[in-house]
Amino acid sequence: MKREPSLGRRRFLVLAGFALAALGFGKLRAAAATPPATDAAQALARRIAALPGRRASARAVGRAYLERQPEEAHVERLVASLIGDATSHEARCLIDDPDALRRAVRARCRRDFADGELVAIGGWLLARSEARISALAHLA
Amino acid sequence: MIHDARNIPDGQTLEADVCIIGAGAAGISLAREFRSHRFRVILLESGGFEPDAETQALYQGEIIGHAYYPLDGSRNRYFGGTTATWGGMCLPFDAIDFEARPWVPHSGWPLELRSLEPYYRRAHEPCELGPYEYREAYWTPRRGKRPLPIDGELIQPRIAQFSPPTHFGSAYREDIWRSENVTAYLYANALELDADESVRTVTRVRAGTLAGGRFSVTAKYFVLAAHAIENARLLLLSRSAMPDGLGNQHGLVGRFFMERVNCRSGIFAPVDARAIEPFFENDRLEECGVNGFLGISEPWQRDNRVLNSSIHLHATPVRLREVEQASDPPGAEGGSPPSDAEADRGLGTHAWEVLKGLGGDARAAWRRWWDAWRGGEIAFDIWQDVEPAPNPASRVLLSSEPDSLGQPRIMLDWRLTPSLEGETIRKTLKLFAAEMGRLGLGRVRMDIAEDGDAWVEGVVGSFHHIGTTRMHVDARQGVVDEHCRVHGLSNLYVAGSSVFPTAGQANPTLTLIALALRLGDRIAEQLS
Repeated sequence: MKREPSLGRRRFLVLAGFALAALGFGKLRAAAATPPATDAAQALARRIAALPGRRASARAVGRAYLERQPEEAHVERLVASLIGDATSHEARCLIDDPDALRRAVRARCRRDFADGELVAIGGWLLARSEARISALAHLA
Repeated sequence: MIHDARNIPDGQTLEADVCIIGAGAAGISLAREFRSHRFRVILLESGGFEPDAETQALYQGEIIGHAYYPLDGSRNRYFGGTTATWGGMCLPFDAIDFEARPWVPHSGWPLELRSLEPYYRRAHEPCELGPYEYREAYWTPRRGKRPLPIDGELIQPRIAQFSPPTHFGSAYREDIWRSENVTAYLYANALELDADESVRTVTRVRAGTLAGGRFSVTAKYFVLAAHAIENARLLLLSRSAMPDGLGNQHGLVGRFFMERVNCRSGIFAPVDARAIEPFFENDRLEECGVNGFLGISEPWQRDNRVLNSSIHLHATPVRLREVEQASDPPGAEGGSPPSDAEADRGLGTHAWEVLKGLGGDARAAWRRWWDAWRGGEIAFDIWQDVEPAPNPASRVLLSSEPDSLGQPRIMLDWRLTPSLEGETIRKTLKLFAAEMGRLGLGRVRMDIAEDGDAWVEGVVGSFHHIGTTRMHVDARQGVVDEHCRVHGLSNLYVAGSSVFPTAGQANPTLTLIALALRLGDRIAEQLS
């Protein structure tokens, strides 16, 4: 009876190990690139919340806005109102591209102006999206 | 001819075809029109050629409503009337001003802009204005300026013309002096109008001087052109024929007093002040003076059920530090105070920080402000001129205190209609903010509260007295008819802004002169 070479078994095991490792690494990479929806929204929320710069001011404005609109105190919904579906490819691309994110948010603000969607906070008339960005800063 | 009424023998009766009471913008315009006719005209003026304290004091009165300027300080009682001190801003009313708008109670004129336009054109001559032309596109190249970068669909760049300003008393004294058929009497105060027994015809005006002389004028036609408040006062004083005053059978005389609602409502932080400011400057061109303001489109007014209004931007040297350190503007909603170390900063300052941080317009505006840090050039105060809503409770009445002629003085009970006017100010300001944001021109801070009537405290008048003898075809809704004839009286007319049913957003002088010229045509036609 011909014995199967033990090296072959070891080779198989090694290859299988590599294969499993490669598969796991790939999954890990995929997981890193496409986190679950909530995580994507959270990641976007953090990026958006950083846009106003002075965090304390953004939080104060956000708090004032949410006191008036408590039903909007929901990160995913706020992100959706600013960016759309957080799990979409376009939205995910914005996570690592602050300039594109800023442009997208600014376009959203312009649409608010065109639609007359303004909010008065501290006297300044903000586009509603500007207030929502601040709300994210408060919630983040 | 011009005479001194103090030389008229006591008790004398003067005769004329037309007696005009008051030598202000309306009265002098009317008198000048009549120079080309043969009929005899008497023009009665309370003052002389120069102001004098004793005559001016006849204008004193009591303020019992919304705070207002002293009544003897907001108009002039001498030859030329308040043209002695007017600013000269002229433009016709808008088409929508003449319409009955369902959301504006008591609105609607019994005539249209189209029918008044020939008279507007003629009114340019006494006001020494340029061509009858108010299109921004016409004037902007003549001003040597770039068009304002506003597309005009909702907010419209508009132009007003400026009279030098013409002091009618000085400019047209010679015209009256040389006239063969117009005789002016100075120091002649109309005291009361008498009517026949049936109270259908005015028979005479009784007049007096501060020196004690009394005389009267009989005429075929009488025209009250004594100023918006005094027109009503004289009708209320004419109680011999009717206990409540002539033309007051429905209790309307003196009601619907209006003043333009002039309110500083916020600050505009432009991205580039140099692109904005020139448009709002006063330019003295060869043809006339002009300046720019922002109007609100008529479709938008209809859709949003607001009053007519305009926006005027006044460059103000607001320094960056003042805005940076500003606490919330008065009346702005507060929210909770920040809970961190920034608690000493107001919410308004935080909001401005957010706008700067988000970049775009606010960041660019901030950079401009910073650049202008030492120069002081910066932001604009936003002033809104809002048409007042006609309000029957806003009125002039007779007080119990007599003037030096023994006549009851006036009491002014100016009332606003805050629900409609406040709604207009807020909606229009938000429209302005939205348009400036959409076009990337700058940002707006609202300095009045989002709700409530506290803004009313900041309202000041524009020295534009309107209403009190309003025009309506129905005698139960107006003191004068569409021809400016007092309802029920065949020969008594009213000239001046007292006949306006609504006040528009435009200054009233050009319109009151246009109406006076229209009235002149009617009287001349009747006499010929």
